[in-house]
Amino acid sequence: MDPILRVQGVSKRFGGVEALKDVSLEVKRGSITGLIGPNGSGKSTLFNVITGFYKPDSGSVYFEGKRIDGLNPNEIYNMGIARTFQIPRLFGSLTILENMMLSPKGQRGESLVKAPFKKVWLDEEIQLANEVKNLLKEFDMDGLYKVYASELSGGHIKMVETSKGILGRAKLILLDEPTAGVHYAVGRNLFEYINYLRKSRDLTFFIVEHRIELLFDYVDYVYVLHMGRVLSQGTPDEVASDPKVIEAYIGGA
Amino acid sequence: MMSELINMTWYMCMYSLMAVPLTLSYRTSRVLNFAHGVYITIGAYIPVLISKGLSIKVPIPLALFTSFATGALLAVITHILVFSPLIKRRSAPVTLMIASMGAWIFIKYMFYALLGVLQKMWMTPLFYTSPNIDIPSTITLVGISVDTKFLFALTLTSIVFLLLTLFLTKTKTGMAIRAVADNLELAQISGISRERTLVITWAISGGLAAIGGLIWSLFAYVSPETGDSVILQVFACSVIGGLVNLPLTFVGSIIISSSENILIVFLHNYLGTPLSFRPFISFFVLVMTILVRPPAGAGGGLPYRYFPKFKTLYERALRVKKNNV
Amino acid sequence: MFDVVSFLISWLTLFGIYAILALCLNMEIGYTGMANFGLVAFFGIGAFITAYISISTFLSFYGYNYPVYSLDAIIAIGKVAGKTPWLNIAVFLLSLVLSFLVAGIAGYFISYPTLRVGPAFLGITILSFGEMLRVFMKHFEPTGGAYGILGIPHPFAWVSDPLIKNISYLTLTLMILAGVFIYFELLANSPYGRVLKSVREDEVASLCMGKPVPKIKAELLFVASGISGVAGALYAFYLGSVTPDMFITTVTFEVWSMVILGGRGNNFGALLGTSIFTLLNRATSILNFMFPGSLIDPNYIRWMITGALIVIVLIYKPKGILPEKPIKTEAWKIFEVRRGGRIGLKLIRTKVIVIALIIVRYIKMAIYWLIGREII
Repeated sequence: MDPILRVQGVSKRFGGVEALKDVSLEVKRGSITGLIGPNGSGKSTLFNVITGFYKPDSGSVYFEGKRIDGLNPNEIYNMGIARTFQIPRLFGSLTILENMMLSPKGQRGESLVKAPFKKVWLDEEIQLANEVKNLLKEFDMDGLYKVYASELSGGHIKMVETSKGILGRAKLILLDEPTAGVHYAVGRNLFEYINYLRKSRDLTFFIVEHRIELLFDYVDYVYVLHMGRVLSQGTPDEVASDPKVIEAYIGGA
Repeated sequence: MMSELINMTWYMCMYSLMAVPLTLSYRTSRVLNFAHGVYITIGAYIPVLISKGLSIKVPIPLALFTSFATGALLAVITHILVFSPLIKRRSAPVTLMIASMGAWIFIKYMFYALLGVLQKMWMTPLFYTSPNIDIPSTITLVGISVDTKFLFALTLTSIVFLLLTLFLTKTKTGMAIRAVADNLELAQISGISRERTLVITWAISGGLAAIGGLIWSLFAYVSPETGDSVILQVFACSVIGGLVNLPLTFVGSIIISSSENILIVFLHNYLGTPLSFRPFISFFVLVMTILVRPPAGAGGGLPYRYFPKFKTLYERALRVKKNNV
Repeated sequence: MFDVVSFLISWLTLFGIYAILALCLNMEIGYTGMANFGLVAFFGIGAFITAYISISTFLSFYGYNYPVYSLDAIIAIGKVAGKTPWLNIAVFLLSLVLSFLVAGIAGYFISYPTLRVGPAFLGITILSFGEMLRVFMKHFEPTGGAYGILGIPHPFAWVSDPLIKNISYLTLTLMILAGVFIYFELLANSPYGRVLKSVREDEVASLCMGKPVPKIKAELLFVASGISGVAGALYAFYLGSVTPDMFITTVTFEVWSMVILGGRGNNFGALLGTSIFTLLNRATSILNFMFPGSLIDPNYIRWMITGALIVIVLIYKPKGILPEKPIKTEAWKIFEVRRGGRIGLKLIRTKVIVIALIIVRYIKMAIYWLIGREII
């Protein structure tokens, strides 16, 4: 079974700084793959390359066998890769309902020409709203649909942020430090939820995380980045006992 | 050709004196100040008002001082009343721009009203006039008769920019201004007061723009629309400097003034373009600059290069061509 | 001494035209977050296209060969303007369509260089575009240069009674306004409106959720500029003449004040703001008329009030008078199971209010007309 995401020899340089140097990795379908590394090792840059914000100086990125480096972020989303941000980027003056209704792709009502004609998009809208309702019920938030995103509490914001890709029928979800800044218990809840989603909806997750002890309980495979290079890879146990990794975290950077 | 060069230099002096403070104010406060044109107008009018009001020939130091002071004061007041409250509550850049437009309209028409009243009181035309400045029209230097006003403008501009450079690089306040512009948090941690720095920046910005207006009044007739008639070109100069780069803004003023005065003459002579087509050229330069070197992320845009669709279409077309061959 | 009827007619017609502009601007800045500082450019394009097309069509129809801006043309139009009613109407419709297209395409193209850079550059570029266009028009001979085009044939020139002519035109304008309003409300309360708001909030996040942000901005600018052009067409017919100096940046600023005061992101707010400012506008002209030669020109005072009002509103009530409402698509119904009928009622209530307002205006005008009749 070939990997859902393949990064091959990607390098990216910003001025004098080499953020990524010849990075190659694979994410297997249906897995939870982790990406760890000290600060500044290039994790966010890699995410940005995969999601189309940067064009790699060299190398390529393949999603389901198709080449995606150089495409625009919105095209990549439409191919099935969703991405969340470390500091959640929700739309503050929109309600939660509206925020979540933005995830599904290819909505007929979103085209300028079709929008004034309610008949064209009404059925789709109601169907999507039902899906949103079910999803919100799953984490007990369906009473909050009217609340503006700017008024949500931190835990709820994280849940909404993490669920952004689901309604969009994404196949691969990239999570950028999903438990950043939250209480340990909330973080564990989040990972339980991610695990549940992986099984129930057949999703693949690629997660950048700093809370290694939490991450290692859930991931199948881990990559370690250090100074823009892949330092080590393997199962959590393999990586945890790799002396290079220990040195990178305790020593050097 | 000589007269065009002289014209160009006049304009260069004026535009640089008007555009550099605009860049400085944007850089430091992130406010694109549409009221900037008013500072220019007021600066141009102060010597007029003094000379007509007191019926004297205005001595140069007085003109310089009062213009600068009035411009600075106006800018500072605008900041305190308009920008400061908005900045404190972290308003969007658009809000600040519109607020500056509001200030622009208010000040401009208050000035119109003032001129109307003064014109009636003093019984002299004030809406399209020239100041009476105490400066001889020509001086003989090394046997050549030189237009004093031109020489004065040139000297003044050079001195002002020399002082400005020294101020920004050598003095503590100047470096504070640069610090606030480049990295606000770091500056504040180092104990620099943002409010105080902003006030000083606005004072300089308004004052210099007023001096630019003063130069204009030496050179041409002034009217309450003076500032607005040049504000576009001034913006163009700043845009060439990416709205944040001071030396580039100065270069921008050279580019704009030369295209307005030299290029237009060529176009006129070879293509019959009318002379008052000048603003057109400035706009053209402005749009070209934004197209060719869009400062990615500047002013809050998308922080990366969005690859336009037609590039992929073009590539597809190329591939089709290759296949066919 | 003071003619209430013509005051009302002139105020309401002006209101209609400016309200269309305000609604366009509201869609641009209130929903999509695009700061269009050059609105007047598209307004002017629509006006000039209308002037040129209508006069040249009339001239060629009647076999005259004069240039559009010449005195002969004006005299000729004056002679034939009332002869064939259907031609007037046809020309009117043609002008509206062409104004929409040309202004819309202009808006689409001007958006191109500015899509990637932020509001500061967008603002300057569109502003410069507007000014440049005005300067260009001042020298462009085929449209009369600085003198502009005069003698535009009124769509109702064949109506003999000037009062009926003006009221008919007012009705037409208000109908177009209602149409534009309903269209924008439909757009806003749909998934498309949702996408627009997301672009306003956070372009990057919106892009990451699959929305083609630059394309959306360009398309919206096309529509909004086009409709601004239609407003320009209405303006040209109303005034009967267009000059480049009518389309200066201060007009843009006026429309901005209407949108800001009334409430950004709320189409009703745009209408409210427009009514306030057009009333202020008309009131000052009355003052000017009634007290000529006052110490301070009332126009200056009006502008000072406008400028000060903007600053005050932005500082103390930045959202404007009417707040922004959430998007009203049927998605709500899924959640509000118990109160299902409410949403439907709310929508109907909105439409009823709009129609009621229009009817009230008519009744007022009719009453005044009757009274006027009595007095005469």
